[in-house]
Amino acid sequence: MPLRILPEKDFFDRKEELAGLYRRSLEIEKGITQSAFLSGSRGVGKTELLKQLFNQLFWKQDKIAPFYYSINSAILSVSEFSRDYLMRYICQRLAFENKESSLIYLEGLSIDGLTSILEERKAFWALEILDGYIQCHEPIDSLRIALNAPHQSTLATGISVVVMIDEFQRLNNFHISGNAAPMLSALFEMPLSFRKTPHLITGNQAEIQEMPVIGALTRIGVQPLQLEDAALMFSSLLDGHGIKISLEPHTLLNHLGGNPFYIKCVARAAGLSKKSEEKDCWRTYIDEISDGNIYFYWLSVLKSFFPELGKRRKVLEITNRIYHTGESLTQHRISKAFSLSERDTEVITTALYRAGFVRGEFGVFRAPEDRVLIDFIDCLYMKEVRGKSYRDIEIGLLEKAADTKSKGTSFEMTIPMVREAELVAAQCLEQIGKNLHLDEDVIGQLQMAVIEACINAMEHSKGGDKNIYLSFNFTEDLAEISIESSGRGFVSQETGEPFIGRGLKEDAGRGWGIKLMKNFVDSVRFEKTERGTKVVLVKNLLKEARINKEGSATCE
Amino acid sequence: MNNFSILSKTINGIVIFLPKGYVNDLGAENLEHACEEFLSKEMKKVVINFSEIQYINSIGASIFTGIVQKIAEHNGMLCFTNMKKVHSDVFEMLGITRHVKVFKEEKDAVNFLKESN
Repeated sequence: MPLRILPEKDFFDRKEELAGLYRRSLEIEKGITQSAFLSGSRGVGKTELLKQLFNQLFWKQDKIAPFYYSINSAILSVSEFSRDYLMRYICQRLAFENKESSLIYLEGLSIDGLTSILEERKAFWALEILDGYIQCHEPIDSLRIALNAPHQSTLATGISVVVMIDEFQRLNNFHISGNAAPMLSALFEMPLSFRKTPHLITGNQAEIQEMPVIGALTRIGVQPLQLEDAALMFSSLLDGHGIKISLEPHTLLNHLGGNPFYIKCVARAAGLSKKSEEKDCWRTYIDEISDGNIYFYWLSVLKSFFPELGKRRKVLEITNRIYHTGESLTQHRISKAFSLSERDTEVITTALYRAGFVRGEFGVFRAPEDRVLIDFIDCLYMKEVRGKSYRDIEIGLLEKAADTKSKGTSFEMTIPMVREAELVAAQCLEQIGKNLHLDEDVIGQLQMAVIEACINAMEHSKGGDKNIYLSFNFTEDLAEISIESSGRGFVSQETGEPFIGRGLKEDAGRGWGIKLMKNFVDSVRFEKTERGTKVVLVKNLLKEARINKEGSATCE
Repeated sequence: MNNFSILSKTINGIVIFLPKGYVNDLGAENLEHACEEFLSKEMKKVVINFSEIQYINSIGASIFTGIVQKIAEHNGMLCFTNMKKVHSDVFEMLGITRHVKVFKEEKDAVNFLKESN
């Protein structure tokens, strides 16, 4: 229910985003607010953001009515959905008018019951809509009436509405009398276009991106928590269990990737076990991904996308291969490696992509950035495919955790998109390289690649916040540098490579940027991200050290 | 920001450029104009000493093709010296090193150009 939200003190690092959405909602009056898709990874806090927005709009002003609807998997017959959607809309709209929150929680209300309430309150605009619905006997027409109800009420009352729909992808399972009718979600196209009732939808990003309505939506990204906010959230949650923890951001929090859901799960489990030392927290984390809430969450996602028992083992093997092969896999290569037909491979990889287990919008599959998810799959693979005991899994994961702590060195920086800002990144890289005793030539090559990637980001990312986000990750054998920028992406949907625009053709020199990057590192990946576009440069440091050693031996 | 400057000197009719800093589009264009200036004075033997060059980007590097071309049009000679490996790799990729003489030290280039007609 929308009003049941987190207390403000537990709603971390979202104040700006919430204020932005609130401001955006108030601008409906000007007729410039478009319907939008709130995108972000699972567990990042999109639902909570919508609920907080609902609450603010509900209590803080009288001009814009909020409507929150979370699509329920059990109510996907078009007739039932239409009835539920319409009745909840009318109840919430009425609740807003009188600031009567109890109306929001009315469950099991009949149409007659609602009619009585409306008559009692003389809500003629609602009675008219409801009457139209009652007179209609065609499921598709009923759906149209329900979806247009916010618009109709705005026309009748002059009060605009922000429609917030959660779990939007579930509309893919629309059916009429048991016959699948996923295309009916396209009926949202019309309501999405009304400027006085803009919609804010969210849900599983990969699935929504494949739905027909996506073209009508602007995208608003919800980013993971920054490390400091993650640490603050973690310590605040532990505080609730009477446990004090240092605010030093430790590697586990870094590993959780700023995902509030993961942070809550680990903090709750650590709090219950009264453990707060980092090594204890790692053990708690391992319990979480092997048998805790995180485990059950991802397992339920896996099972919902792969309901057939016989398929799950193969799915685990394929996912594990994609995660650890070290290169991107095409459908064809997966088919060959697992002796599967192209059709079976397509079904599996599509479901893996839609479930969020792999990336690969254009048919080349890679591991996700979510390290917790990777650990979950590793854990399940070890248990179900390799037949390892819990103890073996625990040892393996603790070793991996120790590895993360001892070998990895990470730096993050943000530079503005101003002329020659790329030199700041290059200078930092030089110092990092010196600190890590990297070969001078290797540093030079990485600098060249980073300079080119930054220039690319500046030239092609025209919108957004005009910043470039760099992350430098070094292990003993690998350097991985990502350069991310907001705004318009510059990656071709067909090839996954950056496109050479008109400007580049006019200036032949720029075309060399990508070639230089590819020449100086071992792999260059272009990814679409929440923020916009990310270039990931990977260089094998061991190989480089070997080449340099052989080079100097030859010289001697 | 301005991270580029050029010093130049002449020895026995040989022009030696000592560019410093970041060779991007502006830096390379400055160098190109400086070359043109000397070429217009019929000074066609040019050495570019890279020892003070910190970074080169792809746009800057590609402008060197124009410099090479202009010197060739004047029947001149161009030498690069004191290059870091990463910079010589860039010019190698762009095919520029096929058209210039590369020397380890500036004095080697000067000696070479002194002896050539």
